[in-house]
Amino acid sequence: MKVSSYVFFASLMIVALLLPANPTPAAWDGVNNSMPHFGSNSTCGDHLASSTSDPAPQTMWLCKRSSGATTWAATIAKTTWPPATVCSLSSTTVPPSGISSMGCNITTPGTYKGTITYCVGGSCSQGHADFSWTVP
Amino acid sequence: MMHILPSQLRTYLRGTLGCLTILAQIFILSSCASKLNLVPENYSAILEREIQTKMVRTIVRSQAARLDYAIPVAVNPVVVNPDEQQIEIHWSKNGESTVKHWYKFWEGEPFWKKATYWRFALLEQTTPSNKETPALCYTEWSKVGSDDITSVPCKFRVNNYIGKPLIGSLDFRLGGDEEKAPGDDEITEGVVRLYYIVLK
Repeated sequence: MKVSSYVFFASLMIVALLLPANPTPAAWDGVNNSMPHFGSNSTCGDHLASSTSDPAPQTMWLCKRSSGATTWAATIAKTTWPPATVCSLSSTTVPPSGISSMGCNITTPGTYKGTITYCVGGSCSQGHADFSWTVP
Repeated sequence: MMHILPSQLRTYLRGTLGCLTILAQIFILSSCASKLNLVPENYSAILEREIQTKMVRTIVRSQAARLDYAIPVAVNPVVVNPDEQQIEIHWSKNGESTVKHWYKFWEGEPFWKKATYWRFALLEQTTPSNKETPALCYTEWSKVGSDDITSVPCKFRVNNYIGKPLIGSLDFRLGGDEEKAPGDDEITEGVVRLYYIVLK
């Protein structure tokens, strides 16, 4: 077998590996559900979509998913320079529903990043930068 | 043993081994590709002292990076001039492998994409009454240097934040134009860690 045949078969295998198995996005698709996330609504039906244009004041929803979080805190920061902390939720117990809300007042167009830090029982080292999105 | 195998089988085995060799090289190159991560002071020195083999260090760094560890920064309790106070933030170029799982090496960033630009901000985790609070310190986009560890001075009234959780946010771009910093609308990568200021 010639070298060109090796390259051909190797390329074929790589192309096959790169093909998407399921190109149709579903709710919470591509999200690591072992961490809490910001949800799109009060039922936490899906992940908060990037690029939102909700008028201020906004309500942000924290969703427990399968994280096992018992307490959590959240921060939303403006990441369009100069950066700033825009709104936050102080450390609070995760309710039995696994959903908490926080108010936010985003008025300036720009890019924002949300971070959730949480405890699972006595272990409190978990933190998660959940998403960034743009306000037009 | 090869001489007793039929020639067709020999050719097949040689072909398979050739393909596996090429795939193994791609796998090794991909696993070596790394991105930036915020690390505690002396992080690299401790790793280098305790782990002799570079490849093992790379694996340990990658696994450690996936733990959401907080970073304590110890400061001197005696303050001469509060306006001159600052802490040092450290980040590593070899902070984390771009590959999430070794068996899914094709899902990471391509190994030829190196970090080109970075910027950092230190923010308060909580803000009273949702009032927009400026970052305690921040930098503009800078080119990634050749050293593994970069130390960033962060100047603010440190003693006002003893024990309070702070958020360190490091943005970076993998690849792209090396002569042009990312634009405002450009989506870049980033890592966020909790920081705690503690007294020595």
